[in-house]
Amino acid sequence: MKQDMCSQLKSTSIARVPQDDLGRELTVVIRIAADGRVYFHDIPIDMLLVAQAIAPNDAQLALRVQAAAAYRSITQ
Amino acid sequence: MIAHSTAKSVSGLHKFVAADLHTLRSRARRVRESLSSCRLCERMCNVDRLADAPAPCGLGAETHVFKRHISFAEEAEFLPSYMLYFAGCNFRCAFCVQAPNCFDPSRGPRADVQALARELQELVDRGVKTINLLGGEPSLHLHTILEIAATHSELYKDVRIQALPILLNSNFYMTPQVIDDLEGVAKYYLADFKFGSDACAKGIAGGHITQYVSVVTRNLSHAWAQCQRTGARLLVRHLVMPGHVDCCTKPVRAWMAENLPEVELHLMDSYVPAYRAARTNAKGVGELHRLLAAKEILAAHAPTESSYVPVTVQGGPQRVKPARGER
Repeated sequence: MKQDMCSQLKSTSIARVPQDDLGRELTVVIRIAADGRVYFHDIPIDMLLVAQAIAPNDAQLALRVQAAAAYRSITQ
Repeated sequence: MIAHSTAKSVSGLHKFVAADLHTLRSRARRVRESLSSCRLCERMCNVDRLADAPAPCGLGAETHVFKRHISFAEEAEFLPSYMLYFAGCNFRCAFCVQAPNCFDPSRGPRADVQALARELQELVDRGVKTINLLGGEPSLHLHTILEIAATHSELYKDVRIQALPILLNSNFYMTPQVIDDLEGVAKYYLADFKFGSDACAKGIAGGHITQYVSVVTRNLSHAWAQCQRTGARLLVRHLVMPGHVDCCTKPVRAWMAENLPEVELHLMDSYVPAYRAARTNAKGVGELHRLLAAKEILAAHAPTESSYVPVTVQGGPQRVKPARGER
């Protein structure tokens, strides 16, 4: 299931710069703390997989990936 | 005692009742006229925004949108969420992640109500679940919000289209009339309960912020009463700040548990220093220049006397729920 959702998100080309699903450029700030915590400020659809690669067991993030996959299935 | 899961469904028991076109037009007109002596926020400055006499917040009558995008960073139930950032704010939070852009009332293109009403419906047709109005402070643009809602209602009156799923993402430092005027317009209230003391509000959000706690708690109760009547939904967020667990987080949690136990409180432990708090030579920001320490995160989520027990999930907004059988 998780694999399917990832495939669905990956099916579109990854933008050169982060964009939202309307193709609008968006500056995403990623901060890595000294203790290893990673902070994303703004998560457009293209960045979800990046975040998930960093935190594959994050339940909240999984819900976001799920929402994104559902959204992509409607819009494509 | 009401179980959280049961109580949480209270606002969801009623289908959201949208305001009709006549009501929306009438409110929009009245609110726009009222900008001649603005009392939208608790500062009640009475400045004539229609004459472009800048209010302390810097706003005239125009609304500008300085940023917009589809986000997947909000609470999962709201996703995808279309974020519409209205320029201008009545707070000057030292750690604001949107500053300084959000403080400039003319930043970004001017909002075109007709175009926005159409655009927002198109987004909903594409699967966007919520129209997330934030800023800056969106309630300072109440006239524009009502005009968008009225125009949307007028444009789509002949087709069976529901009201826009508007989410007001606000600091909740408005006058109660603003909440009244959003009845049947805001389907969701996402309220930031930032500070647990007036002193912290003044020190961090600006010396002009008076009676912060009583204003915000009054408004939360007022919005919750509306939600119970109309089927709208209220969620409260609190961003845990370094050095402010005892003075802010604990009082916020205690007040919520005591007064609005049915309302979800999301404790966010993802604080990052931004704006003034991020400057290496920052003065007057206390400990806001640093990230949260692990012990602060634990303390913020620790069980309290009010029996709230956190469900800890790494990386996103934290949902706080009471323990089973309690409350």
